[in-house]
Amino acid sequence: MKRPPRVFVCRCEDVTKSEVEHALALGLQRIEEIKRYTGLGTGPCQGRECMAPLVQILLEAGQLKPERAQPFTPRPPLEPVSFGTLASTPDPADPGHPGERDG
Amino acid sequence: MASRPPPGSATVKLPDKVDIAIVGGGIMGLSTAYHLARHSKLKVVVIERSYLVSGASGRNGGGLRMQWGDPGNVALMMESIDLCRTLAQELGINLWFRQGGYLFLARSPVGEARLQRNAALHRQVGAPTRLLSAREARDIVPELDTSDVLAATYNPDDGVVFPWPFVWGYAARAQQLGVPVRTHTEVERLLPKGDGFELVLSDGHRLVAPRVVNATGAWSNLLNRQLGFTTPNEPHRHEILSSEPLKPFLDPLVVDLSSGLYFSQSTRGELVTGVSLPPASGYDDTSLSLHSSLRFLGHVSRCLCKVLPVARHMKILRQWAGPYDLTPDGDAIVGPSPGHPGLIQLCGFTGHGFMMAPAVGRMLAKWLADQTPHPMLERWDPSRFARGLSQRYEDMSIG
Amino acid sequence: MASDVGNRAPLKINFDRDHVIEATPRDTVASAMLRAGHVACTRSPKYRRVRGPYCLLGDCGTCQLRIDGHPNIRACTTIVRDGMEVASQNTFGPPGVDPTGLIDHVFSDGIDHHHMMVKPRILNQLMQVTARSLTGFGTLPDVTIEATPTHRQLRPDVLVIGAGTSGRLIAHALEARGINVHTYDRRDRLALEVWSQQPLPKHLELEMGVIGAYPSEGNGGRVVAASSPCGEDQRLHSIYPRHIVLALGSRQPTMLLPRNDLPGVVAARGLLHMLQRTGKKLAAPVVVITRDPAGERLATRLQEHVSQPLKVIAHTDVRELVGSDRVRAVVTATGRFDCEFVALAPTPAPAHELAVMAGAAVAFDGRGFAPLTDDTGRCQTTSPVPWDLWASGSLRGVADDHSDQARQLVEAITADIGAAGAT
Repeated sequence: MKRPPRVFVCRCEDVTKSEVEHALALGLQRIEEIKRYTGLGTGPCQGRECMAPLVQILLEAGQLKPERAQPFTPRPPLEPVSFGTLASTPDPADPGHPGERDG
Repeated sequence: MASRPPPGSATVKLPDKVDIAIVGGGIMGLSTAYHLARHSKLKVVVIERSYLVSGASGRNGGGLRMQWGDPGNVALMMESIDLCRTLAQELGINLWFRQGGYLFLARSPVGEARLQRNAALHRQVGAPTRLLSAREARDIVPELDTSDVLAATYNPDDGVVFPWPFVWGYAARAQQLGVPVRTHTEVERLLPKGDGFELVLSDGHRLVAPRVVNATGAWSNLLNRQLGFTTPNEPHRHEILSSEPLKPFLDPLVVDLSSGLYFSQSTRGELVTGVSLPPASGYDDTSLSLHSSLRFLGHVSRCLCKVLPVARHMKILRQWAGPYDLTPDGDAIVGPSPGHPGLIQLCGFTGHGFMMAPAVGRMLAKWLADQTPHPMLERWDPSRFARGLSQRYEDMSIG
Repeated sequence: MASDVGNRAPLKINFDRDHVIEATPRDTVASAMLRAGHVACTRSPKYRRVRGPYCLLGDCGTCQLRIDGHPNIRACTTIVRDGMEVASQNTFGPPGVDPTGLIDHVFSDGIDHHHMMVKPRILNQLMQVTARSLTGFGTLPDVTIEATPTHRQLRPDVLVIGAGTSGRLIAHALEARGINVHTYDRRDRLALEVWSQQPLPKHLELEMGVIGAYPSEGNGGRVVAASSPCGEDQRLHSIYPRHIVLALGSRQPTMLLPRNDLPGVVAARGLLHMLQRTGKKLAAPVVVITRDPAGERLATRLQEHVSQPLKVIAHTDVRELVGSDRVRAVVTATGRFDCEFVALAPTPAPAHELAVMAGAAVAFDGRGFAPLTDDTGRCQTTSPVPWDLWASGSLRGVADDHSDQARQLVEAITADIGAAGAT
């Protein structure tokens, strides 16, 4: 039997619409728990592409009231940054900390 | 997809009376619930105020090690790791348990002496820890800068897991065995009633239980205070991050003893790394806030680039924080509460609860079911502080 | 300045060792690739599907390539340099085998990664070893040019984040009033010039993305901006602003259509911007899928940059997208429309992430999560924060003319700063 083609909610972590529906069927309701159970929004784009479609699915499924919807917690960094660059920040615990000086 | 047991539910029906009410749906409470369901006929419920994996069980780095400085902890973790070997099959969920070993690096004579002592101790207890030279450490992880490493230890049986499915697996199996796991429900009031307690829940339900297990970790004193006492554990915000996903290059979890830095590579390819921050003015926050800090990013980056220079060009995916539940002596607080023997503490695991939970849940379930004793339960007695018996056994708390 | 670049001698970038792609200095790696017919960057972690650029504006996660020894670099925000070494990542598949087809056959119901092959233990262990080798994208960095990062601390009265339409209007107006304003944008000058004709503010940090806002940081809250991790010039700024104007714009979410992940499926807005930037017309046939009248207007603008007549289809009419290694056609109830690109015009969703981090309260507004503000644009906050927060432009839901809203916001901030005493 030919299966219907996959519809992707999250392309980073390969989460399909049917996987989200499966999580809903398990009784998971909140955006934070659906994110964790499906892996949606945990890849390189951190939810920028999938958040709105996820809310759309939850609203259509009647799982969420629009006035109660909140996004999952955004985590820094929002733009790519390397450990090497971040290592250049001064540490307030260092004895040689340059302090609150303008650069 | 086949139908699966739900990992927890906001709507599962609760009875009015149970034998044991477990407050806190983290890995400690759920492991205990699962073992009670398997090994006893006691009627048990688990109450979680948020979603599963919302607390420390969902925020930790997922490391499991036998490499401790105290024989009691070594033996406990040998038992826990042994349980993990077949736990995925037992719980019916992928745990991504990978035994890539733990590699400890010492850069100071004090650290070197600790690793030498550990290697000898571990052999006595039966853990396969090896003392290595800096060169041998680099054979295991060629990307390491070991220029000032004096000694290293490696235990191939140590490993990492993906923490979330552990929690869902215990919860789903416990529910299958008849234990309701109720999520998104708070215990608003805990009242003494007869020989036991009455729990008033946020949905209005009232639940009577002769015994209550406080498995709320860093939040445990919020519950204890309702009965007018506290235990000496305190929350401490610990930060952690994961990097961009890379192809596998790192097998063990590496710990740099001099900085407390740890890092491993997850199944998804992310480098997961954390470190505790040294005290600094303006940063003395001891609340239960779980915010991320820029200071952590800077500190962990400096520690990481020193020991793993290739990380200079690796990028960070996301940072987050979780609460450590610290005790004055570094040991957990488990057992009947002073003055309230029906309230069983299961907290104070000082950042290591996740790895210990498989063994601790079984140990506590046996004690709850038929008073089966265990030497660690004697050591973890909540009344030890008042009785002046608190003593530091362990000097290998990391992170 | 990047905008001085012309179309002189073609630059060459090496793609996957065997291919030389010609480019102009106006190109990003993604625009050069797409014009040369390369639409794939990677395979996906679970279903092993071919993936390529989608949003073309630096937001999505699937145009990541290995560039000059740096793994996982976004092709759509990386400006080409002559001799650049560019390679796709995570492309594993045995010769002659189509991993996508194989997985579609074996896992036709989908992959439940929590419960697949749990038993017996030996199979579980084999599965885990295989899964580990398939996940992850790039390999370890192999970088030959070492940059020395520089760190600066800045204390502007107003930090404007985003120099798109509304951000630059506000920053420019505040600067004209003598207020100490710093504006950050992750894009380069050419991208901003193509975006709008309006003049850019004076104190503008280009190619610096704001990585986060830390309102609870010790010794005062901070906003942090960083330059691209693969540039030779590594900059990190810690900013202590009194006011933050969030002019972050909106994002292009995916549309839930069958096979919406195929390479060649791109965001219409990103495609328009890319074509405006390169100044080259797209010769390949394009189908645009729209949701609303704004999407139809976008299609009209896109037509100016595409040689062949566009086919515009409402998303409710789409049955499926067709193709295996790239999109080949869109099928509706009435027919099949062959194409090489499908441009999705979703309803843009506010870029709420930084607003939430900085302390703004947000609510679902039908498009996504937008900050709750008063008429002047001042944000409600979820907890006390060490700055005043303002939101403007499409983050707030204003689609076209930003000028009235910008004027109100500028008046309100000026009054605040005047009341507090300008520095």
